[in-house]
Amino acid sequence: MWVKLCGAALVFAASTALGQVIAGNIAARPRHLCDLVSALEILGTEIAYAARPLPQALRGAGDGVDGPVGALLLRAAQLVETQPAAVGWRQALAESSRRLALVQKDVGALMALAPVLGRSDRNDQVRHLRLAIERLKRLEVEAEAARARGEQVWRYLGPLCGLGAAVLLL
Amino acid sequence: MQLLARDRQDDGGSGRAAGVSRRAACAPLPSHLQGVLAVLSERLRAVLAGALAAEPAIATTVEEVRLRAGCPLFLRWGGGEGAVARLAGGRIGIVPAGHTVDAEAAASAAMSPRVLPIRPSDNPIRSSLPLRLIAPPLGVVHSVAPPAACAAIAPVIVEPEDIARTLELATSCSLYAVEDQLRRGFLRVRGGHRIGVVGTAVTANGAVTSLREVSGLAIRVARDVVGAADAVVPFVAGPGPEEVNSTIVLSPPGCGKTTLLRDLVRQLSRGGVPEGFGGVAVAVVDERSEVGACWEGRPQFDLGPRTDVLDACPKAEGMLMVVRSMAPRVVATDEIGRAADAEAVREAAHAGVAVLATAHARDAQDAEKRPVLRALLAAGSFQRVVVLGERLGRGTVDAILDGAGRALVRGPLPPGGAGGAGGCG
Repeated sequence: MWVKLCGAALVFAASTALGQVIAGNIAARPRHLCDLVSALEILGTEIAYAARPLPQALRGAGDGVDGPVGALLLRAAQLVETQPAAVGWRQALAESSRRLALVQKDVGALMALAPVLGRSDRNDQVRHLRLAIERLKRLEVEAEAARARGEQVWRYLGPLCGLGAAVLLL
Repeated sequence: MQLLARDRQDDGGSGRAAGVSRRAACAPLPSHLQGVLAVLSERLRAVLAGALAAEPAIATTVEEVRLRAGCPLFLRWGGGEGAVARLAGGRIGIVPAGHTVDAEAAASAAMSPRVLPIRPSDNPIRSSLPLRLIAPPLGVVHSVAPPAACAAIAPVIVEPEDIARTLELATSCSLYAVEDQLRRGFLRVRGGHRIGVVGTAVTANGAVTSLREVSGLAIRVARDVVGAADAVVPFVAGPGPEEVNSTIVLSPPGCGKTTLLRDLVRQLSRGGVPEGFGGVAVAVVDERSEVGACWEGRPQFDLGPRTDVLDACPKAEGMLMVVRSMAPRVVATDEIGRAADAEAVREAAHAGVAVLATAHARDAQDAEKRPVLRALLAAGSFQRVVVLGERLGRGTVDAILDGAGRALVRGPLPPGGAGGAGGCG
């Protein structure tokens, strides 16, 4: 009996945690997208007005934003010092993807910057950053809608499924 | 084939060997070259470091590294030019231009090739001919030597990716940050080295706004030569403890003008030479950042204790700015040539400030043909004219004239400082 009870408790806990994680991801995505928009805006300013070299500009943008998005930009700043900008940016994205609650489309918008970063004059850089920012903003609206639908559902669905399974097991 | 055969006949096979050395000793590279190697693509960096380590004599006098997409990696050094090539046995060496490699002898001896000089008349395309002779695709050497020997000597070809990567390294992946420099066709990098850039110009309203599809880079190595101005200083400074004569330094490109100017600034700022000269406040308007080679605001070269540097500022505007703001006794600037520059020189002279300047011209007569310089010389803006040449190496002083064109010194005087003047001139 005790074994059964323990098993049921474990199933319940695991299911609840899973629900929380999925809900957390859904809630984090718009937040991360919003941070990315701010970071790219800072980057655009660093490039357009200060004409700071890319590593410093990325560092400036990374310092301006907290959390995993800031870490992504700081990592990119570190990588582009020793590697081509495109390679460094892609690698930083790949390394940070686990800590960012982004979906494929979001990463695609960021990847599109890889062949562009640092490779043209100021106006062109700003244009490309603006394009990326607009795409991210649209994705943010979408992510916000998904959050409104999904976050609460997953928060309740997790424990409820766990409870159902536990009852069946007992 | 014909050419090579005639050449070998002329030489009688004596093989006035030059250039490709068999020394494998790796002397440490001169420190000023580190900045140059740092901006080269990783592949070319390794190749060039190897070639220069094998040729210490060239390493100390190397003046220019040239990258052209699809062409061999060329070097110019004090007294020569050549291409970096992979030699027999996989070693990296430098094959001087105007020389062709005796591949047959190399094959029979199964060792590094001898290099035979060919006559200039045989050499219509000076830089590429020897490499055409040794480059396997043209097949010229195949007829006189086994293909194995040809394959053993291959010039190191610069790939478009090398140029792209070099550009990235030179600009920290930030072309946008060097827009203004790129518009004028050059970049400057840490250590005061200057990179000339060619590609396809992008224009707007008839003015160049940028360069794209960069196809060639010329890295001019900046080297500080302490004492380069030793022969000139006594004519520029004095006789009073704070007196300085306005001086213009004339020479064709690459003869050491900037190096001389830099040392002149340093010596005037420091004082003590000639006897009784106390040193004066010098303001350097360093439009192209070559004199002081400022990096992040600080000059990389020692310019003396009484020197102020206005970095990256247009000459004409900058000269007037420093005269007003820093009250110098001397204003120094590099490469004047536009009407606005001449106007600024005249303004400075009227303000009682001595001007040190350089300009491109073969000699004083040649300078007379350039309207801006002629006007300045005629107006007596300069009390001294220093003409540099290359007869005894870079930085040779051919003549020092006074303002009226009378010769005070007739050269050639050997270049001052250790090993002759090198660097951007």
